[in-house]
Amino acid sequence: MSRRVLVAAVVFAAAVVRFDASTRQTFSSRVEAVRVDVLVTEDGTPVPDLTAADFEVRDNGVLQQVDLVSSEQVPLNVVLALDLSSSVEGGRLANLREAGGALLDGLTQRDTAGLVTFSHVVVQPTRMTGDIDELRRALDRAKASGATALVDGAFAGLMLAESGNGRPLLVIFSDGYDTVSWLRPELVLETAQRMDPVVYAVSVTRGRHEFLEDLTRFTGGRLFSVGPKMDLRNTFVRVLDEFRHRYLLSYSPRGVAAAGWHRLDVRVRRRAVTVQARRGYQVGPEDGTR
Amino acid sequence: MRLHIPALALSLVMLTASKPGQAQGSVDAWMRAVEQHAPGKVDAQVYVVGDWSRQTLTSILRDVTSRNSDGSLNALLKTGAQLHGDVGLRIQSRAKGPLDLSRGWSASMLALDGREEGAGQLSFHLDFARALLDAVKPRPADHEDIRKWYRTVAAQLEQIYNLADALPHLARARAIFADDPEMLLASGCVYETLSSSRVQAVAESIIASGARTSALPAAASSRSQAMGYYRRALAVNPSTLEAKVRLGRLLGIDGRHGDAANLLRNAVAEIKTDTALAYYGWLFLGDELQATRQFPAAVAAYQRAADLYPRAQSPRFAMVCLARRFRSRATGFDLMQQTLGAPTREDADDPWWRYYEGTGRKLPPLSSGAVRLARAERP
Repeated sequence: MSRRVLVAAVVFAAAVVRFDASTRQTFSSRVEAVRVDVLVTEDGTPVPDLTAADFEVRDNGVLQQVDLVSSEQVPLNVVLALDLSSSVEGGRLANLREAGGALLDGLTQRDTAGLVTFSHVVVQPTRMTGDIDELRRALDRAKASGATALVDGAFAGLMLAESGNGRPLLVIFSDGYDTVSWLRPELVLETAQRMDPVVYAVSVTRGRHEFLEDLTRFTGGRLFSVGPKMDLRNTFVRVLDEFRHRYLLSYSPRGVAAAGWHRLDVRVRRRAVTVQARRGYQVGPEDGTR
Repeated sequence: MRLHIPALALSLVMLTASKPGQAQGSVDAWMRAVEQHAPGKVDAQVYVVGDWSRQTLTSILRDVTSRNSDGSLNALLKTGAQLHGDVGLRIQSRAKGPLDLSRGWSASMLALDGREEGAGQLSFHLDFARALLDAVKPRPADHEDIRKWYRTVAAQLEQIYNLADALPHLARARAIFADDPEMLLASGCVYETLSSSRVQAVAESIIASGARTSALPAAASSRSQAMGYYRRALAVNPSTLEAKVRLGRLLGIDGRHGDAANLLRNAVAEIKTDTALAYYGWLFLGDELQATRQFPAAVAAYQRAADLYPRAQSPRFAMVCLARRFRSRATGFDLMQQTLGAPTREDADDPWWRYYEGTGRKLPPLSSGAVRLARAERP
């Protein structure tokens, strides 16, 4: 069984500091904490009632002391990134609007949400907002036409989802494969690994969808592949429900250098379960100096 | 993507098409249709001829081509090719598949917007048109208007993503006009599109689902073919700048970033009038510089592309990604908001959207007129 680790929060000092190769930072004892957003399932069903003591987290191979944060304490930042290419016209668009609306209905007043749509053009009809009615109106105005910039749209969704302070969730819907994006899938996948949002995807395609499989796996999320007559509404609701059943682990890193890429490994002790989370997290910008 | 015409138009024009005393499907009726057809238009003659059977049309083909041993019917054959080319490009006709069914190429895959939609067949009428031109005397290669017809039809097939028909069309074009750099460029473009993820992903999904097997070449093989044609175009005419730009991009995809960057630098320095081509050159150069971790230079190249098309999202997404990775989350977010805040709607806003139309990107949409072929030669 593969195991993945998700990190939801970035170290306080490093998020906005330009990376300087001459600086060697280590985590101090006074400030930084890392949040790890984890899904634990057994036979596909979320496992409840785990405690911090059930988890083992290694940061660059070093075992960490884990605290459990109640996920209910942390509001959500949810972004819907929806395929509005021409193949979504008609009944599928109506189903998509209904599904998006059902997901928005599941949000609380503390949560914020945003919308990105993509055909060959990527559009952000609204900012992140707590005004669910505004988002509904944007969904209702949406029209389907054109090609599919799925990779570009996914990237825009990631950027929007990590812009707030809550737990970032990106929900992507697409009924086909990318036909027109500029950004290459491997670049977006590489970047997504270093970003905070968890990605769930709903795909209506025959056969594998490698990009969405990788994107959801790398970020600790999940891909739902549905048939053409599948109930989109229930799938979207299920996505939000599963996200709320994830665990938020927190730890203050010890014994590891602060800057750079941190490989994470999360396990659940003494249980044969599936753990899904991000592979690691990036502290500070990547080393791009040349 | 295949072009479709609404069926209602067909029933209306059929009422006015035939003249009394002429049997439908006769050589005389065919000649009348050829004479009356306006090249590039979807007129009554397109529907008349489009409704005839393979058997009828094949018989007409044998008749008229056999009568041209002295070249006296050259003009007729050329304008006939114009008519059948327009049938093949613009409507769904009754006769389907290639002229010679034993040739092997017959089926095509229809894909819309990244999803497989069904199966089709190669165009009988395009094959018919080429067969008419093959009978032109002394040789098709001696006629400049035939060369132009082949080029224009190839570009139109690329524009509508009819790769299935483009392949045999260009194969015949290369056989007749062996060193034509435009034909070589168009051939490269078609194979480049075949190698693209948008085509390969659909094909893989069909195979994975078990619906049917696919004879589509693998991406690497198609890419190699494309590069070969671009190199040949450049060997014939080193000023085929589009071949240089496209070859540069494919070299980059193959991991030869240094070679790609050099080629693209040379290309952008030479491009003077084709703004979209310059845009491609700078955009692709940005990617190659990024791949070799020359990030400030990459940003500068993307910015050159963005300056040419201020509303294009593609170079801006590239810069946002770089900013997010190598500067800060806040900087990347601000740039993304600026990108998504700028209105981008029209196809002309971002030439990247038309890149895979190949040589067809320069044509007006298919509903406009096509190249006239030999009208002036008719007695």
